[in-house]
Order: sequence, then structure tokens, then C-alpha cells
Amino acid sequence: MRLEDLVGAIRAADDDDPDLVAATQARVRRSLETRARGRHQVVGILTTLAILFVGTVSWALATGHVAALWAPPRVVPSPPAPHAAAPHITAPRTTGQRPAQDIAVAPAPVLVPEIVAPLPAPVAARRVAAPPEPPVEALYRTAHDLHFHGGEPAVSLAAWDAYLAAEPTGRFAVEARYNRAIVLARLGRYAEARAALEPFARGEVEPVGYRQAEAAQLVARLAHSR
Amino acid sequence: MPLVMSVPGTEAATDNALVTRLRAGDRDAVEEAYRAHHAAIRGFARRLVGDTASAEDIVHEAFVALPRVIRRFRGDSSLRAFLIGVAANHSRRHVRAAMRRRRATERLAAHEGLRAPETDATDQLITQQLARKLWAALDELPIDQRVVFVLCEAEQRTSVEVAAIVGAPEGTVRTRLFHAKRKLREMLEHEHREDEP
Repeated sequence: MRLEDLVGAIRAADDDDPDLVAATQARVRRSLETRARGRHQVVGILTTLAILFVGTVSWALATGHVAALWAPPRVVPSPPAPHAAAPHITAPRTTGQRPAQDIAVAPAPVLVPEIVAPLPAPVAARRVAAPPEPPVEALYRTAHDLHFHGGEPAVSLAAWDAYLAAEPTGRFAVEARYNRAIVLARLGRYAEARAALEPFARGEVEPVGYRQAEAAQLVARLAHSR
Repeated sequence: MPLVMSVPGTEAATDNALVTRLRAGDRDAVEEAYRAHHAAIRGFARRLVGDTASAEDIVHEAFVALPRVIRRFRGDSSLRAFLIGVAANHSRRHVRAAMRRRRATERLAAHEGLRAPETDATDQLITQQLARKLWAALDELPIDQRVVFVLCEAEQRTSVEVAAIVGAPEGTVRTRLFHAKRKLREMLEHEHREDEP
């Protein structure tokens, strides 16, 4: 048997069945459509993910969340107490119930919780991306923190003095003067404390009546102290 | 269908327009390419694997791959020759599948004692039997030699054309053809000796 005879045999294997031709053509069409659909689905999913990503990033940039992620953590003083921004709020009247001689007997630190009006809880150290605040407000925040969160009275006094020197008639000046008077009392400088509180007791500060009753009680107590 | 490929000027112009559309992702261009070239691809696939189902699979895969692989078409051969090359690249596993089916059929025939109807065979049956014998012999060749043998001997293409189709130097094509023919003749002689009483 010659190789050429066999080659002639496979050369003859060339009959096109029209049904097979059409069936394979339909298969090709279906496969291409399926592939195109799959590609469209992938493109759709990727587009959706891209939109979500861009939207999230834009939102994070606009709201400062991205900067907060990259900014080093820093301690930010607590915001001003509400009563400083709204001077009409008066302190509770229960703080002045003790007899005046208690002040003389009790050590200065014990006096603090009795004569200081309750304030909002302190804001702990947190990571923020807030814009840098003006120096005067920073002075106020520092004095506020030292006063209400365990600072030494002498340091608190210096901080209040620094704030009042920078802004003697500022937004928080009245509260700063009142708190400064309290610090003077803590330090045992009763005469200075009483002198500082008397305008409050007489209602001579703006807004009128700011801590007037409380100041009057303190002045009365300090009158008996040396 | 003509076995020898020719690329007249009009065909080249049609090819260029079609290739441009294929590169642009036009799915109708694939349909058009199928109508223009399916017979050549199918004929090659059938001669290569000797199995209708596998041949249809090769045709299918070649045209489905066309929009993706058309980027590699440089225009130094016809689109038909390029498509045959694509089909040849996709034929490897189909050749193996067809070979397995053929051997399974042979084993079954041997087990059941079936013999081909030689005495009352028509010319067509004799041709089919001879073709099966060659495909069984081709199963013993490496795929590269098999492809070159089918293109050169069964389709009577020149070594230049075949080199363009398979993407190999012309000398390599001739070497593959030489080794393929030598092995096939040895197999046939061996078989002939075994058949002699």
C-alpha cells in the first residue's frame, strides 16, 4: 500500500454537511455574544467599583477624613464650655449652702468642686484634622483645661492672665475673669479673690447677672476668710 | 473546494477591509469571515484530525478566537492562511481527543471481532478505510509534523505557504515533512509485513 494512495483518501474527506456548517456558525455567534456579554458585565462591575471608589475618596477628601488618616495624632483642648458661649446660663444654686467658716477650715483644693459650676465632660485626646485655631482661642483652651482638669492653681492663674492679657474684652473674658477669681481663692489669695468676685456679686458684669448669686455667696464666705 | 490557496488581488482587498473591521471589534465581520473561509478551515481540520466532531470544534474555536488574534495578523499572508494557522494552533488537544476516540473504536472492533465489510465495500467505503489507516498512522507523529504533512501532502500547499501558516522557517517545514513521510512509510511497511501470511 502506497502512502500516496492513503493521502488521496484523506484528501477526499471534504464533504461539507450544510447542517453542520450552519450549526457551527450558530455556535460561533453564540460564543461571541456570550463573550461580549461577559466583557460588558466585567466592564459594568469595574465601572461601578470605580464610581464607588471615586465617590468615597471625594467624600473623604471633602470631609477631611483622608487628612485625618495621615495627620499625626495631636491632643486638642476641649471646646469652650457652653456657658461661656451662652452667658445667660446660671450655675446651680446648691453650691453655696455651706457656712462660710468651712472655707477657712477646708484646704484650698476641697473648695474647688463646691464653687465651680459643673461643666461638660472633657474631650479626650483625639485625632482631628481641624484647621489651626487662632492663638487667642488656644490660650483660652489651655487655661480652661488647666482650670477644670487638674492643673496647678498657680499655672491656671498664669494661663487665665495670659488669655485676659491677649483678649481683655473677648468672647470668653467674663468667664475667664470669674474663673481667675476662683483660682485666686484656691491659692489662698482671698482678698484678691473677693475683689475679683465683687463685680459679679453686684451684677456689674455683662451679661448682667452672670453667676451673680454664686459670686455673692462666695464673696460673703471670703469676707470671713483671711 | 480548491486545495491550493491563491490570493488574487480582489481577495487581498477584501481581506484588508475585513481585517480592518475585525480589528475594530465588528462582530458581523466574524460572520463574514466565516462565510468566506469556513470551508477551507473545515477541510484542513477534517484532514488533520480525521474526526467530524473534533473538526467542527476546531472551526468553532478558530473563529471565536479571530477577534482576539487578528491583532497578530501582519498581512504577509492571506486571511485564509492566517485562519488555518489559528486552527492549527487550536488543534493540538482535538487531535489527541480524536486519536483517543479512534483507538477506542479500534479496541472495540477487535474485542467484538468486527471486521470492515471488505467484500462488498463501495469505493467510498474503501476510501474511508484508507483514510482511517492514514489517520491512525498520523496519530503516531508529533503534532508539528502532522500539521505540515497534512498541509503539504493532503492540501498540496507549497512549503512557502506552509511556512507562513505555521509561522516556521521554510527549511523547518521541509525537515518536518521529510521526517513525517519517512515515519509514515516505515509504519505502513511494518503493517504490510504483519498483514502478510
